[in-house]
Amino acid sequence: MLPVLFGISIAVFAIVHLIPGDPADVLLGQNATDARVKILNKKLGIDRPLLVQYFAFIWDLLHGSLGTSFYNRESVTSLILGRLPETGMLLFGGVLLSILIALPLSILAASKRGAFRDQLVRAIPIVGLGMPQVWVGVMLILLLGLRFPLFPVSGFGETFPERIHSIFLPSLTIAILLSPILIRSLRASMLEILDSDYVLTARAKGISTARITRVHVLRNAIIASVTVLGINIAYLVGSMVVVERVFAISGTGSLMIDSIARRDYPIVQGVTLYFAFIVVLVSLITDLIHAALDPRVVMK
Amino acid sequence: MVSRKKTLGAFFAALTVAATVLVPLSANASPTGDLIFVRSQDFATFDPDLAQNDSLFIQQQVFEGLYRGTKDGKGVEPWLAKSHTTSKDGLTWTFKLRTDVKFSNGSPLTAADVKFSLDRATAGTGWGFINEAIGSVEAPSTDTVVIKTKFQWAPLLADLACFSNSIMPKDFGGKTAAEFFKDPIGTGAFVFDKWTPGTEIKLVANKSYWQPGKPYLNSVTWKYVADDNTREFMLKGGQADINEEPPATNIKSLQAAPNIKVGIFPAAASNYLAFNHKVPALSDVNVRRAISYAVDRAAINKVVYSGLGTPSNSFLPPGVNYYDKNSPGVQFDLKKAAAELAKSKYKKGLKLELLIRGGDKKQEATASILQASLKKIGITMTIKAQEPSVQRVTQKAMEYEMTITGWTMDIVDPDQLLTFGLTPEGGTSAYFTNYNNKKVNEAIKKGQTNVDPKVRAAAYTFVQKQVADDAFMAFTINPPYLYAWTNKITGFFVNPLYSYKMEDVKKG
Repeated sequence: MLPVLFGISIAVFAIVHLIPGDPADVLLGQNATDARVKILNKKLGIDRPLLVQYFAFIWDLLHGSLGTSFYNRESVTSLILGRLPETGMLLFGGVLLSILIALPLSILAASKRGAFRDQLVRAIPIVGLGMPQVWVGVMLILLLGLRFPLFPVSGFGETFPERIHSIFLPSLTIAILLSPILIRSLRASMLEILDSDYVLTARAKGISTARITRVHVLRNAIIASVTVLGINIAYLVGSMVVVERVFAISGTGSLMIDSIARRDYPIVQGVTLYFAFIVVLVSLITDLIHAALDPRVVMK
Repeated sequence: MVSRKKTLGAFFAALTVAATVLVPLSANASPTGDLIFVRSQDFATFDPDLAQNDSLFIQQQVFEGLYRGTKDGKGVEPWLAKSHTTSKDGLTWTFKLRTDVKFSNGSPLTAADVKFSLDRATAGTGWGFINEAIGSVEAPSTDTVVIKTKFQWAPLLADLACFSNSIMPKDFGGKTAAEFFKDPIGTGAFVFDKWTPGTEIKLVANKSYWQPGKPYLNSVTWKYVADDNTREFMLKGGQADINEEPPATNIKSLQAAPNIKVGIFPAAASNYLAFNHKVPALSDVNVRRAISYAVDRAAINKVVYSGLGTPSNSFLPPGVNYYDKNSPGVQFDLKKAAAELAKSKYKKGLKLELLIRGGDKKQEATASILQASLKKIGITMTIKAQEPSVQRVTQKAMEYEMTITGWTMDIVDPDQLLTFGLTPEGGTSAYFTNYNNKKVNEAIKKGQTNVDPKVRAAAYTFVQKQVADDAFMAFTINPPYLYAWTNKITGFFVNPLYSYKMEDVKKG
């Protein structure tokens, strides 16, 4: 894990400094003269050679600090940690709703291949994947936030019940886009397993369809889907920014986008490292779950 | 039942009248209402020296200056200062301070606080240049401040009204600058409460504010909501009270909404089409004039600003002092454009490139309109889009041919824009165009150092006409400031400097 993060730290540092644009110029706005830009660059420490800056960054990192934001002079660590509840709940809510949608639908579809209900469920991924996140979010707001005001149109709330309430629509937006991927993978693996010899044997033994589905089919089908889900969660962490923007939730995704536009190097570096950490962590957890579900996989 | 309702109604009406009459009498009657302000910019800092549009309007609710801009934006009025006198040579300005002003921590405002604040502002690396004429600030008594200028300097009061000259307690009340700006103390109507970076900032009423009866609101929270649609949904769904900068194209539908009010405020802001005079074709005044004539300002106004802006006739925006509404400028006229081009070396036409900010719909639309009209006079214009920060770097390095730029005034006096935008002293090669006209520079100097308003007006009228004749840039549109709020809100007003005073706003 550490070598991966170290490699990423070099890559992100190089890329961030390669982007054209000047943090001091962004900060100074319309009054930025060369003289003022120079003074501010010196203050921010970005007039130093790149190598010096990189070692300063690593030195701080080893001391547990990701530096200070150029934009609002807050500690990068606290800025990222401050956004974790938002991002975490959104991610959790989105994944939970996706599973709640995907699981029954896939079972329904796989229960009879080629039937109308199968065709219907198979159409969902095509429609679901074809809809842009922004549009889905806006439609949900218009329908369930304004037309029938059941949910707040945006924000994150103060108390826990408020948060659950306000996180529902954005989570649903994520679920509408994530569940099709799950449905496709779950349905395919369930069908494959339904055709397998051991299911045939079980049937021959007279075990009920419900039991076969629960014990043999679903458990084995989920193993494959856990990997698919894991990869997509890692992907979601970075792509959630659209949902965050539409619902005005300030998660890590919007922090990243804002900071790139502002050339706020310390934050871009910090958030990228944090993303990398999450991705590595999620794949670790995926492996662990995989091992727990599949006795053939042994963790060394 | 009906009559009972009526009686109740009358009772409440009487109560409301009584309340409105009573409120101004009893000092600081307890403020009510929590206002939510949604905006597309994220608050960054309370330090005025580092302030940009993202932060300064919020800072101004906490800090105040000796002077402040009037509602029409053309002048200043005494604020924490009561009055001033000027010495005969025009170099010494003596100010009397109000004696009833307290900081939000309870300590009274003194001349020592003013001296500290102005000295800090002058030394500032961000906005210190505003005070370049100030030689010294002295505090001979607790309510007297004496400012000596290095030379005769007409814009001094306007400079003192600039947010950069906000008044704070001496030595930050014993704190470091960093500590102080995390929990600032000012004389303003609101006091800092809490800030969640990237999300929102909340201010609460200053209970010991010096203006009796104000503020009316209990608290104001500015929420950062980047998406235009989301801000509008929040307003319509009752999750926000005021929306800053609804897109011009949405104004009609907002005006039609029953519970929403729209404010279209005249702005001291201008959009320009900038020419890089280092480019051979654009060093030719006839080519620049031809392009300037070819800008279809009315079409841009209609398409980009839904007709809410006004076509520009001057480098100075209306709403700033000494703006000359009779300045001829250059207006859309394709015949004159063709005639100017015929006078140039490029009779047979030429190719030029326009640099715009990628993803900026206003600039994209403006660019296509310009492209179409330039084609009619034989100029083939290509459009190049760059990410906003990159576009600025390209502009500043003068590696562009034409680009779209703009300006929003920070002080009521035209001097800041004219010096910055037109003279070599501004440090930007005349706003990155490389324009340099000695007569214009001399006139600006004259306006700067002469306190007689007539002399200044003459100088600035000349400057406005001359830069239009030189077609140093094409002046395009003066966009308005757009705001939308629910009909629960009253008293919200934005002056041409984009500044608003939440102490005058009521909710309910």
